[in-house]
Amino acid sequence: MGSLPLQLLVTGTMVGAIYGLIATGFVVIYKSAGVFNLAQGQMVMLGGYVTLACLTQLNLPLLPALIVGSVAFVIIGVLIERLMMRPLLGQSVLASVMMTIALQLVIGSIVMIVWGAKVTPFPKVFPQQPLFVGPLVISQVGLWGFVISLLVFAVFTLFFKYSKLGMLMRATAESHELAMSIGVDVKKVMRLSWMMGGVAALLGGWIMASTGSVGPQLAIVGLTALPVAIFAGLESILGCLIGGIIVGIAQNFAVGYLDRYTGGGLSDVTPYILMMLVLLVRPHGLFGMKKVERV
Amino acid sequence: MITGSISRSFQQDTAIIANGKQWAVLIAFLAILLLLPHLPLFSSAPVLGLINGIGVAIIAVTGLQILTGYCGQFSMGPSALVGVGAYTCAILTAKWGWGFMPALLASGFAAALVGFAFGIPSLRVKGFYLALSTIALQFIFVFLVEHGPHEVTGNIDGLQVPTARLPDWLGGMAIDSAEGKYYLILAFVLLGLFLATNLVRTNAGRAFIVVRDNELAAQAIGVNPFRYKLLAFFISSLYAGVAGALYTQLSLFIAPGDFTLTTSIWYVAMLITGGMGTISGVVFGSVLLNVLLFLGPRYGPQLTSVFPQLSDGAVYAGLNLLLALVIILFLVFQPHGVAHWWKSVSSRFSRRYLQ
Repeated sequence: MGSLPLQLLVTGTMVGAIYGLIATGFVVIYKSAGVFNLAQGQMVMLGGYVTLACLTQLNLPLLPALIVGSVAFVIIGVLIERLMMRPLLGQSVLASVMMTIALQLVIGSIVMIVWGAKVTPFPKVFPQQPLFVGPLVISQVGLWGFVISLLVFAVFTLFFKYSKLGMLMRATAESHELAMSIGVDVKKVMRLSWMMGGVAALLGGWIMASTGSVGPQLAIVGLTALPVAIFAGLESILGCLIGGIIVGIAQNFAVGYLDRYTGGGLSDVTPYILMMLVLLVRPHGLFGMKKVERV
Repeated sequence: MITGSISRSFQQDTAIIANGKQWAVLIAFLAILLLLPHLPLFSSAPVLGLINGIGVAIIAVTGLQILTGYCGQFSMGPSALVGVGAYTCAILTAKWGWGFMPALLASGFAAALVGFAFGIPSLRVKGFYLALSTIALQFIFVFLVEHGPHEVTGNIDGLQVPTARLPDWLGGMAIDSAEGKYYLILAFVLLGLFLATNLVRTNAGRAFIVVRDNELAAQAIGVNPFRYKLLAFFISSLYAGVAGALYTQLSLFIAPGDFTLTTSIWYVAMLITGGMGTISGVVFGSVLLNVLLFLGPRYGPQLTSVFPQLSDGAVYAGLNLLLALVIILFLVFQPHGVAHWWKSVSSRFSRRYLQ
């Protein structure tokens, strides 16, 4: 009984890192395009399905499957940017956000038409036996997911901080006009950010799917990235990681201790409750910065 | 010679119905509406049911228009607020024996209060936070209904709702025919549309519009954006609550599955296709999409017989896909919606000369 809190802490951290990863994709798109990609959850679900298809129908081993999936998502990101976001460039951001709603419907219905609503178990790419560390039971799948998330985080952080392209993306995120004035092709940057958001969704979807199965519920889980991103403040990638871990831990604690009183369902709701609390107390998120607009 | 509509006074210029001709058209239109259930095409039960559904949607989308079209705030939770209204009405009438009219008023205010509560954290900061907190509202609402005390909310099984009765001083008659429900819903639709049209002409309505167009400029001229965004959300939720109470009468049964994120997206789509910023847009969008929703499940299964390898649920998914394409086309090519087409066509038939 005494090890329950520690167990929940560990499991929460592992799943939280994945939330943070998906949230990073959301934040990247927001920072460069100013658009809340409300379709991120569906993109995660699609990522799970695409990886499943690569693994089972194309019978590829893991790494090539991921590469093929990433290429597919890069293409999807480009298509989204070109067909759905670019035509709205002159209009208000509200129109772009509404477009992401349409995108959500498109992805959700295509998945439903092609794959149906069945929940399919994901092929076992990770060793299945849990590790027993002291009183804790750590699933190897979860551990691998955690490690991979951290690796992707590291790659993203290094990219944005040290590579020229990353710095150009940050510059564009701050101000489109100033970036254009130093010769940045803003359209290319937006395309790149949608591609990165897509790849983050793919990886998140793959990791989420490997902890269980692929199905429409992945979209709900993927949607959790949104409150995580708000909770963390839409500023930094590291913030997403820490915010994700905090949300993951809180979610696990809520499920572990409170689910018996409510008959379940808390795991979906807890991230949103946390988000509402953060909006009440610190609207810019845990690591967000308050923006001052001058006329 | 001067032809066309001329206003000879400021009052006439700002009036909703400006001259005798417009009054005549309005009265004729109202007469048609009143006689609708007796017209040959519309008197069948499924068609009247569809029209009643359209009426409820119009009320909800009018509220959404006030929030999004006039005030520029994006909400993803209209369906949850309709649900709050529906469940409040259902619980009050089924479990506590309230009459329908008082329950309807209470439902409106219950939804408005919920809107107020969710609006306060999310409208203080400029940005699309309302969209996310209304997503949160969707999930929290469904959670509370599905996991609340079974006695009160019925959980996933849903709630039966008693038929509405007219208040005793009007005869106490039960409104149990599709025709009766039509008149009930029509009354609220007309009231709601009238109030919304009037709202735009008030100071608050103008404040909404300036907050939508340029929040910084609004602040600069002394309009408090937070206050007016919150007011818009409050009013919008009030409309949704009333729509919810009327919704309970459509099939006398409600369940949490009626009020999901997807249903909210349909409401938003009605707003987009109809046209943001106009009241006629609300009507166009609601009619169009509800007809689509009605015809889809009727004729959709014929499609699966043509493509047998499609999975079940493909009809519903196909409908959603069609909706998504409709939204995308309207957003890209006609952001002002069907209402704009209507206006362009009708303005070609009116002649305006100024001597």
